[in-house]
Amino acid sequence: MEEQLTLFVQYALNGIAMGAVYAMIAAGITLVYGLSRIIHFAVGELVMFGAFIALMVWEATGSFSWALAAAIPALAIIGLITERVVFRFTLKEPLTGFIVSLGLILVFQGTAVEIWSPNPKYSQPPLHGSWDFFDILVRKQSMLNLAIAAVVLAVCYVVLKKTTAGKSVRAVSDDPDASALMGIPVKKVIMATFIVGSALAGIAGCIIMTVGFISPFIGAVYLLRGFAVALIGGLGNIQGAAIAGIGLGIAESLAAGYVGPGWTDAYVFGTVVLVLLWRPTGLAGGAEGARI
Amino acid sequence: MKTKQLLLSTVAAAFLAAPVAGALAQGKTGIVKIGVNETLSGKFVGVGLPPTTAIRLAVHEVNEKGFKVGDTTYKFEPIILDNRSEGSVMVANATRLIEDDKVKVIFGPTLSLLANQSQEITVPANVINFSAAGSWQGLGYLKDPKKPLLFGTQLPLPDLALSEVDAMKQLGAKKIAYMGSDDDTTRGNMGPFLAEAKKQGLQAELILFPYNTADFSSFVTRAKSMGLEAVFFLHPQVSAPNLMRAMVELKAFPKGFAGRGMLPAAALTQAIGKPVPFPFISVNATPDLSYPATPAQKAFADKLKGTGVDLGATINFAFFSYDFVPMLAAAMTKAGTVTDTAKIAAALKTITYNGAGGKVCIAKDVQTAIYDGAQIIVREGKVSAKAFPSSCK
Repeated sequence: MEEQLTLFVQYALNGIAMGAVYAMIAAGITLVYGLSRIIHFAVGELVMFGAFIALMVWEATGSFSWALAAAIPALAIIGLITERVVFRFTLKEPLTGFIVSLGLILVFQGTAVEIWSPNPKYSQPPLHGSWDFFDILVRKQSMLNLAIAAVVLAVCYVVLKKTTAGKSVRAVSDDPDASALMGIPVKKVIMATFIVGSALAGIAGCIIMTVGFISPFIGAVYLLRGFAVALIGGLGNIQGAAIAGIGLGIAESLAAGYVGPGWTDAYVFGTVVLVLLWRPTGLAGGAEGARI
Repeated sequence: MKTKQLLLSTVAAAFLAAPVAGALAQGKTGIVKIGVNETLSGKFVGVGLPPTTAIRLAVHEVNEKGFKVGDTTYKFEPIILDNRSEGSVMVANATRLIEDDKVKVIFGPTLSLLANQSQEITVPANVINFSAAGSWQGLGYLKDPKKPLLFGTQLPLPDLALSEVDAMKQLGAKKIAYMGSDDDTTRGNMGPFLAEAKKQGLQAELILFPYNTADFSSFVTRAKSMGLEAVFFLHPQVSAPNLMRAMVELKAFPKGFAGRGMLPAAALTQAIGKPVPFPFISVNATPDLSYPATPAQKAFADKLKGTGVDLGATINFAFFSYDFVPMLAAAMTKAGTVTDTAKIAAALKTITYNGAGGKVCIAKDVQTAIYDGAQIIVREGKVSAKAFPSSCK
């Protein structure tokens, strides 16, 4: 019995670290959706870009901090450019924005192939080894990744809930027209969310670089999970994204451990379908009246 | 006057006849189009890029002299199409190659999932199709008399299984995991290994995972909870360092790691930044290009480096096509035709070609290639390489 409990905790712990990454990607998706109603399908490619930029800096400097520090502004700039050049013109037609984001996937993939070659790349993570707590092995890099994700999501939450800038974001999310009448620079707020959403993808990419191989074609995997988390948490709901992200990570890990491992994806996404049948607006509400 | 006219006529005739005589001396020339339908982008690019790079090299080398069929000197013209790792694109490419380009020979796809679909198009069209796909062997296609134009370019799986199970025994493990991505490649390859392991008294458990798995913690934890002592890892090769890092950090598979076609760098530096603390054995379905055992293998490795194409962890897959291009030319010469695929296939089965992979020939009982294999062993940071010479006569 004790052995089974230890095993269960081990699986859960294994899943939390990846879940935090999913939560971060979903937070970016949910921020952008909440304000622009655009479902940004190229977010997986932003994660991929973040991973490659982090890898370049990590290999050049040997410093993970520098890698992280480089990925954030680089992706923020990409977010700024895509908003100014592409999405600004689709704000009144979110469906057009959605289709444009599909096109961006190919643009980002092609660019990545040109820059980094189509081959998968592997890098050393900064931390090796694990801690042993009563036969539960805690991987050091996973804990570092979890800590980074927790801090980033906590900062996002505090900024959104406790600062004037955050109130502006929430106001625009609730009613952009009324916000504009109140003097809130709606377009600038939307631009800022694209920047922050992309930067979050950059951080997630930096973490993913430490977990597994990266290639110009990994975007779809993380997009799928990011959207699943955003849907379960409720589109437009950042707290829901955090909870659902951790939940999906744990569900994946438990599926790998206790049921047919090859069917992990099927079990996980089957759960997503069931949750959405039960609560169409996600566990924490969202969608129609997106709440950030 | 007559003499002058005769002289002028003779000179003019000689002048006019010169190119014709030159052409006759040179013989006729012709082009043989060969199709390449590979994964050159998309998530399986690592599988298709090395054999395609090798085909480009081999075609260039064959074309330097050309090859004779009757009185005609032929050159190959490769038509290389990217199937983007997608079944629908692969089907469109195969159809285009056969119906529009009228090719009689197609190389690829190497990926089992796509190769299984490819043969559904090439077999009825009477087109010779080369592929290293393990599933062609696993599903019995290469023993099927109704599919005489399919040629495998990977060693016979039962031969590989013998070497792979031998590796597990070298690790001293009795309870082992067979791990691979949950796809046609693993399902097409695992049968002979599992049968051989059982025959030799090993208890093997199958652990499959989604192809894009980044974090192997839970799969490794599962194996540990089952008391498995060592792992045989099939693919994707690029995930081997991640798996080994999880093994070290979660204290799983204490007796070690074996895999197919893994680069020793995965165990030496990539997994944990220093050599892994357990033995590592790579049983290669091809010769190894990171530790080439013969001058021919080294020359091939150098040529691949010279292309400047980054072939990554699957560089050895270049062997899946390189020697088969000149072998095809030799078969066409022997068959006396570049279009009659039945005759070319029959000739192909009788040829032993001295190539980069040693003596290369087609096995008698299953229509797949035999050439040199290799075993690369890493113990306490020291690498040893052993070639398994081809059994071709």
